[in-house]
Amino acid sequence: MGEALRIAASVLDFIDRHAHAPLDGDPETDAAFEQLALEIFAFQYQASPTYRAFCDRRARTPDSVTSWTEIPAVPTSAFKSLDLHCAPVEKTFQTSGTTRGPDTRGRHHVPSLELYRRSALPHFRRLVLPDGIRTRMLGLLGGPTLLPDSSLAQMTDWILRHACGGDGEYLIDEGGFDPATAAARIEAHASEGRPLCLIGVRVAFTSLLEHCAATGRSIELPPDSRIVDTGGAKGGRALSDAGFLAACWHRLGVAGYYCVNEYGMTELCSQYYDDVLVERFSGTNRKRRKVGPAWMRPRVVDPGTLDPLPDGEAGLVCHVDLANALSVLAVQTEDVGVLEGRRLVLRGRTPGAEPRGCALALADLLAGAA
Amino acid sequence: MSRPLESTDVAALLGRLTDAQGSLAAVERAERIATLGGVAERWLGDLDDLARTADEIARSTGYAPAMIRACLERTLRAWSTEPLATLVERTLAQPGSVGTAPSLVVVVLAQNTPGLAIAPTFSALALGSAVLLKCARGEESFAPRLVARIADADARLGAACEARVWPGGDPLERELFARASCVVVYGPAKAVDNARASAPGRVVACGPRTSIAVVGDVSDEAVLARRLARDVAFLDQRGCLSPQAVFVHEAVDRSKLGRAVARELAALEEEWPRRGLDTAEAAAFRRAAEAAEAKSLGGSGVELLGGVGAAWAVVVETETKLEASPLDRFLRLHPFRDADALAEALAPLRGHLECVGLSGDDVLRADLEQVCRRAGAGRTCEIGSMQDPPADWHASGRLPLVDYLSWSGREDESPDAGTTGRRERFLRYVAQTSDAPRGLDVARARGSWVYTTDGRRHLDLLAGIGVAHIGHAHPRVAAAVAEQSARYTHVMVYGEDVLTPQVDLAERLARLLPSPLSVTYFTNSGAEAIEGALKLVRKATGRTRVAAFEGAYHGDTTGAMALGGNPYYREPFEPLVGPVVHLPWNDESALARIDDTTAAVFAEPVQAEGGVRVPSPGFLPALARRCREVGALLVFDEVVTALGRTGRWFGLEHWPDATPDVVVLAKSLGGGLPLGAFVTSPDLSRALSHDPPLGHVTTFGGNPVCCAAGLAALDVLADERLPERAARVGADFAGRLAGLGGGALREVRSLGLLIGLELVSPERTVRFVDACRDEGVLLGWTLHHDRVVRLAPPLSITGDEIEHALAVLSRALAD
Repeated sequence: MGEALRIAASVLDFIDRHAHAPLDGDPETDAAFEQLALEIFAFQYQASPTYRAFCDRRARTPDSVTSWTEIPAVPTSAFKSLDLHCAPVEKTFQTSGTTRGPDTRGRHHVPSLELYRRSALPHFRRLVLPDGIRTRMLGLLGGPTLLPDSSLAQMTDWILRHACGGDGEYLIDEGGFDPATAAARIEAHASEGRPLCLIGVRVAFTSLLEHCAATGRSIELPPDSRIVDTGGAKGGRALSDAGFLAACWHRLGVAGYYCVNEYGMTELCSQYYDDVLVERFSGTNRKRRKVGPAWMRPRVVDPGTLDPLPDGEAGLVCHVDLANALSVLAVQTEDVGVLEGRRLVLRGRTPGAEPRGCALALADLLAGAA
Repeated sequence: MSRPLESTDVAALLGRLTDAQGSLAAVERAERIATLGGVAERWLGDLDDLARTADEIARSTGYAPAMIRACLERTLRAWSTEPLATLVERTLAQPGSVGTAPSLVVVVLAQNTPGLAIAPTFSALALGSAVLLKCARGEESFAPRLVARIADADARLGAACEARVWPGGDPLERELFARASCVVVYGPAKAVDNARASAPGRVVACGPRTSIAVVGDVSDEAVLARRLARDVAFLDQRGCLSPQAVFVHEAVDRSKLGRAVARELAALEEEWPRRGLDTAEAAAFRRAAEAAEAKSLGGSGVELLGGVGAAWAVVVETETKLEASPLDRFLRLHPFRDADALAEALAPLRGHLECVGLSGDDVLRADLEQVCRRAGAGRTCEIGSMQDPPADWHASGRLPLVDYLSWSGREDESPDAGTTGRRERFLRYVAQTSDAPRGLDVARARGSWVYTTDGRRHLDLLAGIGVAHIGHAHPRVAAAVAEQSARYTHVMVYGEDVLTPQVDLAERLARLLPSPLSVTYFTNSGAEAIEGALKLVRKATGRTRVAAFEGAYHGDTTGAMALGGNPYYREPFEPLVGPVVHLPWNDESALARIDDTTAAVFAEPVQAEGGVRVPSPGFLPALARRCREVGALLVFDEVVTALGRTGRWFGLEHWPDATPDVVVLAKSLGGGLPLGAFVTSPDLSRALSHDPPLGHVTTFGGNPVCCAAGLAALDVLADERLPERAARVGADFAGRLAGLGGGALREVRSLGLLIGLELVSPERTVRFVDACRDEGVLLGWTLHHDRVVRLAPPLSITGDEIEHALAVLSRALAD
């Protein structure tokens, strides 16, 4: 336990020191990241017998791994069946796979919510509120009371409570999300003239925007208002990226560069955000990419071999998140992306294999029957 | 390499193939077989060319040359002279199979199994058909080589076959399919669907399937592991004969066997190195291996041998239940306790199971073989022989050439007056009701079967849309018709003279129906009977407004259509007879809209075209109560549900508290001849005979020949107790349909032998109906519900026919 506390303290120290490091890295931060990542890897290898067995199968041990890029990454699918943590668990979050029973939901056992909170807030402020503005936060998703297993709900709750001095409110209650009620409340807040920050899942925004379109309603949010959508098409229809940005402009009066997409996952304590606002405020207008905090580094690997791919080549995205110091440092996803330095361009999920011979894969057969 | 086919070449190519096919008639069948068998045998002896061919295929497919060569050798041996001759002989010995060849067989090879072109090419040419092969994308070398070798052996046979490539799904392909006598498709569901859309009823579908192995016991583990590994690894587990799962009896040390198989698979990498995987394939393999690894690390007892980073993965499972598994050398070993547990585990494979490799002593093996056969396995064999299918084997259990001959014309029919000419005349001279008529060229029908002029037979699960309750062309009906028509046919318009068949039939109906329904007005059809009932209820009540239900179907005359519950069909013809109010079906709360201005409510006891919707028990009694309260009459349209269809003589018998004032009958009433009726009480019936008299007459209604046929049919229904049988057989049939696997079937609804299958989507429903039709089973979707397929077979359908239907439906649902 003492080692876990020491590791957690090291990560918090790293966050404090490097929260404002250049988004594209600098030698000092990179060296510190490398050192701490290897230290955490060695700790996790010792503290988690399951992770140790996982690494041993790949012949990767603290003795053989010399760079953060070599740390074995645990696939997100493993979170469905393995309990991976290196200290007593404070909170377990679950992925939202609700249609196929509890066995198919990934579980992230988080030993320290403090680590999660301290990782989430600074990077949100930096990427969503780079101009230092204080907005009123409006949440278009349920909080931890309604969604106790959701890491996203927990993170949003922190944002509503702490990101702008506690000036936040949920637009959803036990009765679910009602777009008409939400629209009325947004309108009421907008009439006060203070900038708003709407944060929620894409389906809720879609529902709101479609309601506005159907009723011919346009709400002019005050200048400097912004929208943070956390993605997610589960549980309903979601607009495409282009359709979403267009609708935000037409129905809420929020320009595209004030719409920031968050990319996170239950298995991680840190998040990526579109760099569109920071780019805007630094006077550039490049195409939007995702950027994470200094304590999380992405890598892109070959989908079959998991070998690292150079910048510009599409492959599977893997994350090394120091804020996961007490659970799993490196997480392998099935998301396809391209790396541009530290920044990521996402390109959806891995496609299914094309049928070739005359065999019917059991995977396809059983998936069809499910 | 095969040449691309351009649209400008099509006419010339098809003309050439047609001419060549005509010339084939001059070559005796035995000579054709000897030539083709000789091609196979000489190729087997031409080791250099076999090696060259294998290398060429290897370059395009990535499979190991040694493996391709083994595959070619096996296929050529299976299609050499002796087995080919035996196959043709056995096929032609099948009852009803004596036929001339289809003129043009188009073969789509939408997958690149080496040597796949041999079977369809030899089959077609041996029967005397021309054959046009479409090469698989990426493997365009083998088929032209095959064609060239055939041409070298005999120019006449060579001229009758051609290998080309063309884009899938474009107009050129549609034209080829439309002009083919039969289309054989090896490939995924999409390729099969493409063909079915352009060549409805003429497609032999060879879709993807899967195989397994079952180890009952082990006498020599090393030998078994070697044989199993070779079956698994052949064609990199991409062929439908490679087992993807092995069920191992719990008495066998699964872990030890798994390790032995893993070692053998590793050793095979030397001989048959795995082809490279593309990104998606590699990712699928890795994901499955990672999932197995997570289970093994989680202390579940699962063992992963190989896996991430290796060329193969063997997973020793702890549960019998099948697990998702990708292809490309991924093998799971599951335990099983006994034959019952194995049967349960194989249930998801029903309709998809190709081959089962078995190992075990004779007693146990026979037991396991039974289980696998019941699970739908087309073939069982020793482990180690799975990749050696004989030529006369086909997954359906039929001889493979039977499918080709199903589309050929019978030798005793003139080709000039054949299907094509008649179909054209049908389209030209007979008014059409849609752009897609079923178009069967009917030769005869008997019992549950419709026979077409091309020699095929079709199991009629629609009974001619609810008409043939006693089966088609029942001899007692035929005799009654002959006898009555010899005595007299038409004498006088309806209602004037005493015509014995009419009187007898009316009396029989009065005895079968509850009191006071005892007076029958005969018409020619159901729609006419509805029209008569409409006039009756208006006249009897002095009211004009009627109520009917959403989703209802009562016929297509203007009054009947006005009652129909689907605006899509009503609106183009409006204004129709009115006013009509449409109420939601099976919703008691809506019955308040029936008021004292309502003349009558028209309802089907079970909505048939609305999607086989059986109302909840209280609905029709509540409807009858409401009608009584407001003085409205209740009319039951029993055109579909009467005369045993729902397991009782009349549908109304299921709801004794809801006896209607009028019952409308038709369809099965005439035993296959046109006859309709509405039956009411003596009091009500007077409304049409007075003020004015002759206010509702018909010339042909109640035609004596039709009534004689109806009486004979009633006799058959009663003598064979078909209504009771329908209740019993219908419950069993519907229950077993509900047990069919696959995710395509959402719900089975039924009452007696009126059964509705609700599928997941309209597209899936179309595919299902098409697949059944291709396999000779007739059914159709309901008029108002594009996801519901109606089954209303003859009430006389036999147990064997139901088994046959279940097998076909099961395959079609899985397709």
